[in-house]
Amino acid sequence: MIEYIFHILIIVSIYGILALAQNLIMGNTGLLSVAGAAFYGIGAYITAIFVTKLGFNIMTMLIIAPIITGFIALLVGITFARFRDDYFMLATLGFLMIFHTVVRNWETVTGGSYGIVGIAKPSIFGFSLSSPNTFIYFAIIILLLATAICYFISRSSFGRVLNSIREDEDALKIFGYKTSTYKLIVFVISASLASLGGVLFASYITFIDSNLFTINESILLWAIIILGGIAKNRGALLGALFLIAIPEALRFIGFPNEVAGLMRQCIYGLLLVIFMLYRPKGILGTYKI
Amino acid sequence: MEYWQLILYAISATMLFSVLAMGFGFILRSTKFFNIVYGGAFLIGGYMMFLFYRILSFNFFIAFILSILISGLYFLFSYKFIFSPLLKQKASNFVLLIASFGLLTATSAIIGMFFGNQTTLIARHLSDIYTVNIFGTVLNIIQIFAIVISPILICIFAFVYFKTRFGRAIRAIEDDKEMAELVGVPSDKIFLAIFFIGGTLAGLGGIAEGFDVGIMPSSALFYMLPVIVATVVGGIKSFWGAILGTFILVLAQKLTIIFLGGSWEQAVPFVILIIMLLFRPEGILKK
Repeated sequence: MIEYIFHILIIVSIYGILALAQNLIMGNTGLLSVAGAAFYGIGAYITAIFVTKLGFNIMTMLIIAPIITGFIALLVGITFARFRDDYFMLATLGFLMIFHTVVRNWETVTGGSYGIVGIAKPSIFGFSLSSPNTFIYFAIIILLLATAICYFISRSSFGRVLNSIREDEDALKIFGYKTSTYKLIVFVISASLASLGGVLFASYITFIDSNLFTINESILLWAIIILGGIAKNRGALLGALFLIAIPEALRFIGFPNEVAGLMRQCIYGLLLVIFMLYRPKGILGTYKI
Repeated sequence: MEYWQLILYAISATMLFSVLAMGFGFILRSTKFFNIVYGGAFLIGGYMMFLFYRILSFNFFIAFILSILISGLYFLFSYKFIFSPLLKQKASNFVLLIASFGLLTATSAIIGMFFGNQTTLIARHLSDIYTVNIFGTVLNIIQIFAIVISPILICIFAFVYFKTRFGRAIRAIEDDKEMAELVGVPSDKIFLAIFFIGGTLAGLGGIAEGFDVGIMPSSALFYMLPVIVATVVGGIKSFWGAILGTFILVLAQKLTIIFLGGSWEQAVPFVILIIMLLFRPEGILKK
C-alpha cells in the first residue's frame, strides 16, 4: 500500500515538473503551447536511446537530455519566437505532429510504434533505486530542483519581462525590449525542464512508446495549470497533485482501464471549459487572462 | 494507370476537404479564433450516422438528415452556451482556444466511451459501398459524391455569401462586428445560423469520411488539422482562400506519398504551415 502511494507521488512529481515547465511558457509568458508533450517525449526518447543503445547511466542523462532537448528547442524556437497568440499555438501543434511522425517512422532508432523497452533504472554508487520506495527520493530531488529554478525565474527581472510580454507585448517592444529573444529563451528553458520529466518517466516506467506523448498529455498539462492557477508555481504543483492523485482513485471504483482513461480525459476537457467560463485564472491565480 | 487512380483519389479528397475548409473559414472569419470544436461536429456527424444507419438500421436518408441536424445543433449549442458568453465577455483568444480544446477533448472522450476507441466504418462491409469503374479506375460512391456534390455546394455557398442579404450580413460581421450591430444586423441570429451551417458541413464531412475510410474519436483533431492549415495557407480573410489552400495541401500530400511514402503524409501540412507562417502569414489570397 505504502508502495502504491509512493508510486502515485512519483507520477505526481513527474507531472509537477512538466506543469512547472509548461507554466513558464503558458502562465508567465502567456503563450499557448502544446509542445509540452513533445519535449517531454523527446526527453524520454533521448534517455531511452542513450541508455539502451549506448549504455549511458541515467544520472548522466539528467545533464545530457536537457542539453539536447534545449538545443532542439533552440532550433525550433528561432522560428516560433516570432509568432504570437493563435499562430504560436498552431506552430507548436505542428511541431508536436512532426515529432510524432518522426518517432513513428524512424524505426531503427525509436522502435517505431513498438517503442523502446528495458530502460535501466537509476543507481547511485552501486545502490539501485529500482522500487518506488527508493525512486521517490530521486523524483522529489529533481522536482525540488525544478521548483527552485522556476521560483528563481519568476522572481528575477527576466521573469518580470516575461510577465510583461503576457500583458502587453507591443508596449514592451516600444520600450526597446527584444521580445522574441525573451520568448526564445523561455521556450528553451521550458523545453529543458520538460525533458527532465521525460528522463524521470523513462527511467521509472522503463518502457516508452509514441502513444504516451500525444496531445492529450498537453491538454492534461493545461488542465493542471488552469486548475491550480495560471502563472503560479504553487498552482502548478497543486494542480498536478489534484489531477493525478484524485483520478487514480477512479481505478479502485473498478472501471476497466480504457474507460477510466477516457473518463479522465473527459473530466480534464470539461474542467477546462468550466474554468474558462467562470474562473479563467484558476484557483490560486491572480492574473486576469 | 496507377497515377490516374491517384489523381482521381486526390481530386475526391480535395473536394471533401474544401467543403470542410469552407465551413471552417466561415467560423474562423466571424469569431476570429481557431475553433477546434469544428472537429467535434465532424465526429458527431460520423458517429450519429453510424448509430442511426448501422446500429438502428434507419433508412439512409432519414439517418443522414438526422445526423447532420444533430452535428449542426451540437455546434450551435457549443456557441450558445460556451463561446457566446465568452465572446460577450471579450475573452482573449487564449481563453477561447483553451475552451475549444477542452470541449473537443471531452467530446471525443465521450464518443470513445460509447462507441469504442477503434476505427469505425459506417458501412457493414467494404463491399456494401457501391463502387464504379471510371476509365479503369475504381471509385466508391462516396468519392463520386464528393467529386460531384462538393463543387455544387461550394457554388451555392459562394452565391449565398456574395449575392444575398444573408451573405452580406455575414460579411459585415466578419469585417466589423460592432459596426454591423450598429447598422442593424442581428448579429446573434447570424452567428447562430453560421454555427449551425458550419456544424452541418462538418457533420457531412464526418459522414463521408466514416463511409470512406472510417473515423476514430481519439484523432478528431487530426482530421481537422489539415483543414486549419488549408485555411491559413489559402488566406483566412478570403472565401476562396480555404479552397485554394486545400488544393495546395492535398497536392503536396499526394506528392509526398509518391516520393517519400505514405507514412510521412501527416507531417506535410505542418511543414507547409510553418513555412507559410514565416514568409506570408496572411495567406496566399488577401482580401
